[in-house]
Amino acid sequence: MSMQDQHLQQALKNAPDREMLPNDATRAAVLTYANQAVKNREKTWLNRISNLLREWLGVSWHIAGVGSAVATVLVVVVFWHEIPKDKMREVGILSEEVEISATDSVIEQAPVAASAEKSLNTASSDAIASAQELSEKIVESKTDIDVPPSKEKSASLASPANRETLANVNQSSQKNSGLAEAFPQVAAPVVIELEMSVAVSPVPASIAKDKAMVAEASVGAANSAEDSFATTKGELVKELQAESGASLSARKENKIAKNSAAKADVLDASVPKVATKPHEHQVLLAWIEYEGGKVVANQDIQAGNLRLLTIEILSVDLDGLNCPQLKGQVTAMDALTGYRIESAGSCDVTDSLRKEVEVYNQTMRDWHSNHLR
Amino acid sequence: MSDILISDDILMRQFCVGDSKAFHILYARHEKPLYRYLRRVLGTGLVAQVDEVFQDAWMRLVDARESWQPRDGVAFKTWLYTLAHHRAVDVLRKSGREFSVDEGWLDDENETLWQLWPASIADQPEQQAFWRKAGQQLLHCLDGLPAPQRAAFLLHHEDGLSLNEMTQVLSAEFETVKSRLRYALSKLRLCMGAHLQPIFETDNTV
Repeated sequence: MSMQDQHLQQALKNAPDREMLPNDATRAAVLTYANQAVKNREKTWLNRISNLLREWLGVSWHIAGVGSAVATVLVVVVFWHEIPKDKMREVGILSEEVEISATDSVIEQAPVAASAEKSLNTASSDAIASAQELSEKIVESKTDIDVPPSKEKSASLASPANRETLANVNQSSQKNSGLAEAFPQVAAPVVIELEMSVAVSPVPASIAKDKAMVAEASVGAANSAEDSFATTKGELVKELQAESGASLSARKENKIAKNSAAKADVLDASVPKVATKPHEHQVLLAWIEYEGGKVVANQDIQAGNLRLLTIEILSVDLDGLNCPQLKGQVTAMDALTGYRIESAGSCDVTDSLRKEVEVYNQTMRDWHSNHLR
Repeated sequence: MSDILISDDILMRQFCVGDSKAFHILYARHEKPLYRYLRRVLGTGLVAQVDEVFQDAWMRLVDARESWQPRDGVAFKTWLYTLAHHRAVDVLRKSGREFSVDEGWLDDENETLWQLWPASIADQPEQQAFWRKAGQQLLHCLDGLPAPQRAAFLLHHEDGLSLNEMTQVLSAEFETVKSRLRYALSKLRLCMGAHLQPIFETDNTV
């Protein structure tokens, strides 16, 4: 025997009690009871706090109640008045900082040329000193190579690969001697640095074995040294100027970026955030469909919850049963009204729901145009 | 309203955290079916008490919301109907009306007759009046059933609960629920078959 009977089901569907509803008083009683239960739940928390106070302080219920009320008021007053002020102050300070830093950078840019010149001279004199020091070192290391190996370190330096490398470097340094003569102050450190990198620093065994690689590296290095010689003093001055200018502008940009980021944070904080209760927007859509967009909008207006809504269509999960919760509801501001725009996700967006949401938004806009002009 | 928009379980969870709107939506969804169920289970004799039982069921739900755990595999609807059914059984018992499981009888002849009843008739718009009358007769037949069988039939045919869900609502074993449903169907077919005999004859002549 089948457990489902379509004839009986059909008869049930057409039974005369099909559209019967409880009377209005019953409905009102149930809904009021539920609303009251929600309110009582909120009250319960206050009661718990006052009970705790009573237990801790050993004072009477009335005093505890009054005390908790005073504390609540104090907290509200502090949060209400202080935080926004501070944030606004922060915005003001930040904008002042941007202006100051901009003028600072203009003032700083003036002595750039002078400081660049100065730094070039310092660099040149340093280079001469270091060149002398390093050429002494090179001579020493070369002597070490010529001397028969008595230590492990000198043995590694005296390997055929190193000898060849040094020979290449010497050749290239001889080649570059003409240029070095022309610009001794600039060229010296480059050549010396190159020589030092080959002669002084310990060469790993694996690299030392590969003669071709080392030779190639030294030739490449010599070429780069040649390129470096082509840099004139004037160019260096320009480079230094550009560098100091770039560093200043980079600093300025960093500062502005930092300030604007901080400003954006503060402004973001000033934009009312979307409440992140789970499924809140799904309930809201169901509520709009149930009550109608105009009624819900008026309720929100009365509650001071001014906003506009957009619907985002979501896909039902693989089971086809659940609609996922919309993640990261986008908060934006409406240019016309200044109200925030909240994105509400739904898997089942009917035409009637769209219409009701539009009615909701229109009611909000109407209220804005009627009351805030 | 579509269930996909937001499920009962999510609405109930929202209500549990203090969203009274969620409760309003839940109530709107289940108001009519639950009221109908209670009215039919209590029967014409206790029709005056339907509103009271209905209201009491919802209030019990509100009071017990903290104990509701969707993870136990109990859907909201099953839970709601369980609360309502238990309240209805209390009223039936107090009223002195029967609430015993009548194992009844099975009539093979009527069963066969019932199977011959043309199902296609449901699709014909001109038969609406007939089905309305049939519905009325069915309510009368339901009144004659023992309450447990009546409840089993209504939960399965009207509210779409599965046999497993019915075991929770009726607080009974699977086999018990199944047998109650079988007896209810047999009796109702017999009751309705006698009433619809003229229709069979008309249909056969056509």
